[in-house]
Amino acid sequence: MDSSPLPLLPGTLDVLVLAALQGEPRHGYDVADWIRVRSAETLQIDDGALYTSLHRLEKRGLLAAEWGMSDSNRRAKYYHLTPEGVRRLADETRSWGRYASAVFRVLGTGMEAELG
Amino acid sequence: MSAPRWRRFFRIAPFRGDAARDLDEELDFHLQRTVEVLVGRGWSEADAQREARRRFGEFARYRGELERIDRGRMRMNGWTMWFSDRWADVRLSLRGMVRQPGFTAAVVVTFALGIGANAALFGIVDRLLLRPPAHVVDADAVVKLQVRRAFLGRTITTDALAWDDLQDFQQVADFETVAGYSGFSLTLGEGETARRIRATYATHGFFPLLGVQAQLGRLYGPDDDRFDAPLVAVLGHDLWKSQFGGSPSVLGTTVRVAGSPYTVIGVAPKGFTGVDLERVDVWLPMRPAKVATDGSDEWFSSRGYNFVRAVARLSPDAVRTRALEQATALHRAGYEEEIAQDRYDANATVIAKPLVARLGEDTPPEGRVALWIAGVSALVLLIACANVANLMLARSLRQRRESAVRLALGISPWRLVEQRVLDTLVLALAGGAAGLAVAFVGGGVLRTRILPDIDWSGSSDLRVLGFTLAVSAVAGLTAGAAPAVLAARQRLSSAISHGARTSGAGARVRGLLTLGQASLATILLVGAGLFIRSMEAARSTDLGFDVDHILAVDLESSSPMKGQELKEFYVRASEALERVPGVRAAAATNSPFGWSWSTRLRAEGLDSIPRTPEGGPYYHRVTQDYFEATGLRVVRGRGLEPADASGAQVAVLNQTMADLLWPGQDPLGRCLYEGDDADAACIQVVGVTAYAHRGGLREAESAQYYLPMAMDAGVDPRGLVVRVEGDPEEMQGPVVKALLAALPSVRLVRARTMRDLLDPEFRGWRLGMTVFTLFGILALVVAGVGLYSLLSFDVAERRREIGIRMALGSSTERIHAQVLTRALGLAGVGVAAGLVAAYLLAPRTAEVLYQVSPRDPAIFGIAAAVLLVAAAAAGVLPARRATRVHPTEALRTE
Repeated sequence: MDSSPLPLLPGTLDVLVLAALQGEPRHGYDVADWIRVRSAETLQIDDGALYTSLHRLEKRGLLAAEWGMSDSNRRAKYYHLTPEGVRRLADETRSWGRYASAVFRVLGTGMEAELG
Repeated sequence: MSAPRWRRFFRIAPFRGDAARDLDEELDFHLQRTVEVLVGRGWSEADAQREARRRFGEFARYRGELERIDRGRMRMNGWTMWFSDRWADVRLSLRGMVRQPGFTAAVVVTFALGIGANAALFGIVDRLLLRPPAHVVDADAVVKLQVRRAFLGRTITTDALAWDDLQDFQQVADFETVAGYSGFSLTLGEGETARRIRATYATHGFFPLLGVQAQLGRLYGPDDDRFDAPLVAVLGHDLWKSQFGGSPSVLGTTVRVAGSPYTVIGVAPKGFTGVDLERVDVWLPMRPAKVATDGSDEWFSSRGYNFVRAVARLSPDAVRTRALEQATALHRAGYEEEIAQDRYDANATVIAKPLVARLGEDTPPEGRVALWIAGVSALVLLIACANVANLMLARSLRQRRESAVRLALGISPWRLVEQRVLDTLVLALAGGAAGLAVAFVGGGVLRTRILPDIDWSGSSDLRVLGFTLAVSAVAGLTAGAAPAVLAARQRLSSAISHGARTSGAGARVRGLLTLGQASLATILLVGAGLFIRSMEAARSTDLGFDVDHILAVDLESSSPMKGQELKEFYVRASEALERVPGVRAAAATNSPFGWSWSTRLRAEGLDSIPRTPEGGPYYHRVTQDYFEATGLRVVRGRGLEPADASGAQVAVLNQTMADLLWPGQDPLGRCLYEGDDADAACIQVVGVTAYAHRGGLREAESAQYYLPMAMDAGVDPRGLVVRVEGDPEEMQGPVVKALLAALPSVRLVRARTMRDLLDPEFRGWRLGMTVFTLFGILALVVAGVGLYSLLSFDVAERRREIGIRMALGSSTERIHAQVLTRALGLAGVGVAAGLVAAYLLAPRTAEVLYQVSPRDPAIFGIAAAVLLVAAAAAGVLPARRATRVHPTEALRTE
């Protein structure tokens, strides 16, 4: 399997960021790290773009932020999902699932199985 | 290698709330963390830093983008937060209002009355004094021209000018245009449906001068205002709506005004009243219409007829003083001959009055009264504010524990103050809304009752609305400030531990407020007393005739009549009237109430008639039953007799004239001579009457004499006086019917009671009486309730102390006395302050009073007594409650 980084499809970054914050608040570095690890470094995302997404989502009220102490005992800005963000993540996950399975159905079931 | 740029930011102390610094701190942290992790995995510091920046992407671009997003977010947050905070506060206030309906109702009603009264008065003052008449373009450049001159030893200012005076003013270069107008009461229609309307003759230049446009059809122009032009008329908006249903088809129809047919060519816009404020029903072109009404053009031919009012628009570059100097010079030149014969003031001066009355000497009397009432209503609003402040204060003291807890929880004192002020503001706005209803209903009644002739349709509801809003806000802030500040100043710990115990400052403030209310109420009651006494004095003024049983009757025949024909017409009319059951007597006169005539007169044994400041002697030419028909008493000699109707040369003098001509001597049998003729016939004095007023309540006594109408062929009767047995109002119908039946050629009959005729004179006093009494009672009630709540509060707070004292054997009476003493003490000081204020204000009321001293001790005494009784009444209940405290119960309350 080819492991070279893939450019991100437009509109997907926000979902990834929301997903990264599911369950627990994280600061920006953790979000970037989480996405990098979960995607096995497949997705090519500037850290700057990530922050743009975080701040945009905060402005739209899907995220809220608080300053807290990091593990290294420094002040860091922690993001968490607002109730609206939780709703949005659920919606987006559902539609991504439908979208992806539709694409897989068209391309053949093998890939679907591999992902499964 | 130098430290990376972002490192610099790292050393800056983070500061919450500053978006840019927050952002830099966040990015610093991110880059630091990346480097740390990479170094931890064995990267060199330099490589790690390079890698961190590579992963981040174009730093400057992203940072700019992030800053832009954050700025947008902060802006939005600022607004939404502010609004949601305020909204939460308002909701808290509203919840508080609903929780305490009694309190809320008390405050809202207090505000509603206070604010409503002010809004209503503002509507009136605004129309009378603050804005130019409706539809006048660039009103500052328009002036009314008047002449100030000496007349019978006094300086008078007159706006009634001769036609030629108007022509003189037209020569003034600094006047762009000059126009004339003249208002009359004329008859519209004929027969039983005929009625009087307010007609204004105006020259054709009047409309363009003011800049007014027709609402429908056209206004008349130069061709319609020639002496020989066909008669046209422009209807006033109100008349068009009420009489012609507001239909456009009115154009081209014919209306009959004062008997002449006019073609309607247009309708004036709503609220257009020319340069005055009184309603105008129809506009007629001055030249042809006045001639048609009079049947001749003599009013235009001589400077002896003063009937035109002049308006001028100054040219854009005009100098006002220069224009008036020119006008004055032209005016004096016009009276050259009269001045030379010493019949006209050589120093007569033309003056200009602006359309918007200036405060001071220009203020019209109704405006002055309105200002007085506005002052009163402002006082009432002050009382209302004080009372609300008092109520709020009492409430905030009850809420001390709650406030203390909130303060302890970290709410800033400022927020607490804000909430308190907001509470009052919300209440004031609710009160203002209710006040608007009060203003529109009450203001409507006030306007039509007190100033019925003013056209109010030009009033601005929007301005009243704005004013109400502003007053509500100010009232809310005023009433809210004191309790709010006290709430914030209280000490935390003591509040929590002691619960609801009044602080000394709170009690003092509430005491002062109550005291202030008592003094304001005193002032208002003194004012009410002064007006009531004025009204009584005016009512009981002996006018010299039987005011309560007289009808004044006007007749208009459909064909113009003069001299003998007209006299016979009136004689027939009075004969017809005397046959009506219930009519005691009827007589014709050339000088109905309000009219005065005088002529050159000589008296036997005197070189000349002594001049008096009141002018005269004034003559009345009357038919024989005049004294019976007016109730004017003949004190010596006789009145007029049937025999005099055949032309006897006799006169009846009033006592004033008899004393003036022949002081201390018997006037009977002496001679008067009319005119300058040396061989004029002797008019023999046959009687003397008591004094009768000529045309008003306030006039000084003048010399008057009464002659038989038949004596002089050239005199025209102008009205009838009818004295009836019972209520004159009930006789109005029968009188009109009888005249319409007896006189086929009559066009209009108008029978008015003497009381109605005099009514405008009473308006000012009635207005003052009504307003001061209403507001005075309101203020009294409000002050009483304020005092009551203060005392109840006091007693409730001192339960423990009272209980102890009762346990120690203090008598019920002593405690009663103590509470009542406090009530009377507070009220007494307030009353004293109020009396002093009323005493100081008194001289300013003198001009609006009638035959009563503005410092009348009886009135001051009564006002004080009423207040003290009310104070005692307010103290009774709290006093009784105080002694109902059971000693043991009182000891247990804490």
